[in-house]
Amino acid sequence: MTHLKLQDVSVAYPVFGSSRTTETEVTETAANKPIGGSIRARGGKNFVVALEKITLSLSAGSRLGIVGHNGAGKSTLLRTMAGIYSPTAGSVSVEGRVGTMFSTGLGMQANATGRENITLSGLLNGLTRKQAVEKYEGIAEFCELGSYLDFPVNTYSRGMAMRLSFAMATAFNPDVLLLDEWLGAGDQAFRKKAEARMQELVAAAGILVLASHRLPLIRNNCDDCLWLEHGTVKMFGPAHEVVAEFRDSTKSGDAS
Amino acid sequence: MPIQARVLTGEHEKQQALSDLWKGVTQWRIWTALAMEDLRRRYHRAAIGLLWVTLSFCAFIVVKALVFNRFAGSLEFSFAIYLALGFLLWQFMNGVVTDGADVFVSASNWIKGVPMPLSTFVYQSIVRNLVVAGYSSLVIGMLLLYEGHALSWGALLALPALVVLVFTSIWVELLLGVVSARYRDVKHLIQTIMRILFFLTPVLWVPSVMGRLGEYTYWNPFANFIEIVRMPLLTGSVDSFHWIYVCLFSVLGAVVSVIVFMFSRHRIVYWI
Repeated sequence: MTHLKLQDVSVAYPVFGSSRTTETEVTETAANKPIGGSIRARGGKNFVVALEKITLSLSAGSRLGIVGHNGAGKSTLLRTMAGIYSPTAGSVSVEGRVGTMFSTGLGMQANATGRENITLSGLLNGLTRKQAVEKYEGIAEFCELGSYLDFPVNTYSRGMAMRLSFAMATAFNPDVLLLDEWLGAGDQAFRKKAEARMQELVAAAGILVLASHRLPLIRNNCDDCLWLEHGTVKMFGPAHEVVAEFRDSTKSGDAS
Repeated sequence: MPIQARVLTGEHEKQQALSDLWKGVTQWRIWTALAMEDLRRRYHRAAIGLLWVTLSFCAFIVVKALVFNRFAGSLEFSFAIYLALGFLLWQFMNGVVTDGADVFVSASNWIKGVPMPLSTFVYQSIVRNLVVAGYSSLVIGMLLLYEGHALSWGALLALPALVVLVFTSIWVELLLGVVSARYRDVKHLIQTIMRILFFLTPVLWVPSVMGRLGEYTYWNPFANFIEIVRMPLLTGSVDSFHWIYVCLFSVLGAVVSVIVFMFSRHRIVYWI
């Protein structure tokens, strides 16, 4: 059965090329602002604790939104769920095929054409070359890029690249779909279509995890929502409640 | 395709590194496709495409054979074939070593975006270098015909040598990839060393006529790897010293490389 479970997951990563040199052990955050994870220095090395003790359990049909300020750990959490980052402490358990769409250009060969990238993503999903080529029509139709699919991906606008990326992430029947804020780059017509595709996948016993700064996107597509701050859970609950709280906090933050 | 539950914890990291190496092998379709994609891009819009590899290799051999003939002394075999084989092998090993020092850093786009075995990029690089070597080796074929050099049955000894060479290439790239992802000086250091080593490796010259340099040259692993392939093709036999050296080097290196990878695989993504 499709599931995604995180048990006390922490992720800390080393930062190289920082101008900070601290010999003593300290923990700090960005000047009392809710930006970034907490920075820990040990023996002259800087670490960012991007996630700290996150416990979550998602099962088939779960739709989770993630909100938080820049650097709160949203992308790190998604990558940890995908298995790209391995937890420094705790454990992540995933059952099901994972589909990912992270920031611009990741998981694509920028100088290759859209068509070639579709083939590559098919091969990555365990298809043979022939099967991957067969998937082309469906993806081309969904992303509506037409002849642009024969152009290199690095000639695409952000929104166009997002269309292709989303179409590829959802084309191979993923059980667990992990999407980063990037979805906001699409125009309204495509966003509608993308939302419909997401709901379809969840309805077919899938899991959706969506991180975004666009609160309506979270409210309309998710049941639960996780609010991250400095890599820890600030609030977890029904999407509309968490989104409302988060919005209030940003408003009062702007006023000060 | 059945999907198994995947559990990630700090304790499983070492097993994951081992399964990464094997999972990479099973996903051969992706790394062969990526390698061909690299080559297509490198020779994009060039009318003769990959034949440029053959052409430039051929030009190099002709010029070097004319210039360096005097270092050859009197040989029982053709100096041009000696030079061509040596340079083909050097080019392959040099490609593997210099690519290896960049193998994970240059794949950061994939590694950070898609969950996939990191070994994929090592295999991709080996295939790319093998294809280039294949195109260069067309020149060897032509040269053998032109010089009328008949291969003996002993030449078959070059086949297991190639297998060992490819095996060694895998762990060399893995090891260099990890170390140079963490320490960015390594890539530049390696480029410098390789430039010097080219002259210390018996490619342009023959050890027997080089005095002291010739005596010490077989401390150099590259020289031994070249000999286990080149000697059987030239003379039909090979000194067992080279095979013993190569086997020890290869096995010890593989052990070190796999251990380093087991301890560092999960950190590579943060280093690139």
